[in-house]
Amino acid sequence: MSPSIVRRALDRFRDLTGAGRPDRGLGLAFVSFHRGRLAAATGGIAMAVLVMFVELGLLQAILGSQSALAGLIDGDLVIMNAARTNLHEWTRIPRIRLAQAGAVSGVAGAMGVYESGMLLRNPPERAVHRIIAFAMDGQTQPLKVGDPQRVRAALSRPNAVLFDRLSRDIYGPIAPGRTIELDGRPFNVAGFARIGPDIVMDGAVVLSEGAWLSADPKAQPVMGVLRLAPGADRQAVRARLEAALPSDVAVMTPREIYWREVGFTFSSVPIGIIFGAGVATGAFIGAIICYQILFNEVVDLKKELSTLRAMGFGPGFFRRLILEEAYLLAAAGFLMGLVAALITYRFLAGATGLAVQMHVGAALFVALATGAMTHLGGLFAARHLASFEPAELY
Amino acid sequence: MSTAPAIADEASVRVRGVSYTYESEGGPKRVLDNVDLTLKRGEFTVLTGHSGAGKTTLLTLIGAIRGLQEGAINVLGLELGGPGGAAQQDVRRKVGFIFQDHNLFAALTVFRTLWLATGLMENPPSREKALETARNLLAQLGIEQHLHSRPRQMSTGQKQRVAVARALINSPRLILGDEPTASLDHQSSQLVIGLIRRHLEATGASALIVTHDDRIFGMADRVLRLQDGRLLRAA
Repeated sequence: MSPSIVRRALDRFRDLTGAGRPDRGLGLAFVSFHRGRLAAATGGIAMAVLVMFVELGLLQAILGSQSALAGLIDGDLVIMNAARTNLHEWTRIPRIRLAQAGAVSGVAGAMGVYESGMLLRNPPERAVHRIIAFAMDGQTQPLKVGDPQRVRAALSRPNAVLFDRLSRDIYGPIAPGRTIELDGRPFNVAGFARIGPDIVMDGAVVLSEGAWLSADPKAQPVMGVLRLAPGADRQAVRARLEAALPSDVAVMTPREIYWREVGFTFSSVPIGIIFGAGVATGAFIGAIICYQILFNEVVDLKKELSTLRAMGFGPGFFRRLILEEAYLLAAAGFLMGLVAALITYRFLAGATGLAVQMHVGAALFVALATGAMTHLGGLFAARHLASFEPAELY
Repeated sequence: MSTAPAIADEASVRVRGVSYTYESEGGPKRVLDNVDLTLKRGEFTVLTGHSGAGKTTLLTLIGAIRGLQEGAINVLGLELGGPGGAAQQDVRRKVGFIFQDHNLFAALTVFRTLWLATGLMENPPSREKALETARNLLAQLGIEQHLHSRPRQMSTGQKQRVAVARALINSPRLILGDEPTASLDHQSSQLVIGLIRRHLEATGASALIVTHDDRIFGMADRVLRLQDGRLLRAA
């Protein structure tokens, strides 16, 4: 196809985008005409979009990783120490509370989850690295860390451990069949778990409750996961548990734990402010870029735009024209920024081990922020255009 | 908004006691001094005079492109006030103004430029109707092959003819031209002026053309000369 045919087809398309109104659809013609400027404008807005996406992606990844344990709980209710404010604070409960909870009507089973920091050595390496160790009953599995059959089979072996395959690389090559040391004791890697690191811990291992208690017979669980009997009303059982158990224990649902963890992470450490400021900065930069681009366009076309004013086109026409250009730049910049963000997320997920993923909500938020920033930039540029006097043509 | 009674049927423009002064480093310069002028319906008037005589100033005052300082101007029944007056935009929309520089958008094709101008009409034509009108106008100006060209694909004279077509596509009741034939050869000038004349005859519109081009004096109903801020009949 020859360039002139393509050009003519594009012209026809641009003519038609007026959708039947002669004074509409000009934004596309103007925006697409100066390709160098279009590329620079789209790139600038895409950069602002990318900044917002990266800030939001990291924030969501941190919140997600910090509350990931809540998502692993395989139960209806959880009992935890009432003084415990978040999942990364290992205030424990007396083991007797499991038996007491299990005795409440409607509770089918109460399973303890143990958690502690350990030092892992991966012989023949001499270095030790801190790792999170969970322990649970392999038969009932209060945490969903992998295929139940494989987890059950693995944890039934003596001195067996499951290694979190999402752990960061610092531990060296660890595969089933290998022997590693945890706090100086040898363990056989019997398989993999799937948990994921957070911003503090680099990895995790899962032991059987038996192995844990054999090392420390007086160990106390960090939580008790309760499964209800078929047909039991969760609210009623919860009320009975709260009445039956001493006040040193709090009863929560896994979902409540998740949101409490998100809230705690967001408010107790200034990540909300840090990443929020990053998003706002991205939006601000985008608005400035958009204004600068549209301002330059208006200045470059001063003579032509003044001619249109002299012909009788009013402020509404010019505002619509500039905003049309702004929205087109916003759409192009957003799409380019989205693609760049997906690539960056992939890199960040690999580099940090965090679940940096694109979420529909975040994409919608950034799309709205992009529209708002370009709208703002467009309005300021349109205000400048309104100051043109047709008499300046002479 | 018009505060005066509608202009009489036989007059498109009535200029009364208009004066205009520019502020310059050398002091105020009065380019129009108590000018009176009436343009009748269907009349083709040429305004000439030496450079700086105030021709373009008078043209832009009538076209509501410049704000009045003294006097009164009634255009197509609308009374023009000072800068930013409500009637200014209405007058601009009703006048077909041919600018000395074509001032075409590099990004727009000829058709898109002409179609855009039809957006000023109270009831804009459909794209198809505008296309037909544009083709017809461009054919009369000898540039129908440039319907989908951009300005950079045309010569200065061709661009000027597009500017003429832009001024005429809405069938204005008043045409104001600022040196519309300055960049045209004789044949093209004849085409442009002939088209304007035919438009006046067909619609009863009036035209006021500022020019130094004495080749078109003979085609005008009246030739006026601006001299020392005063309007004189030249022929």
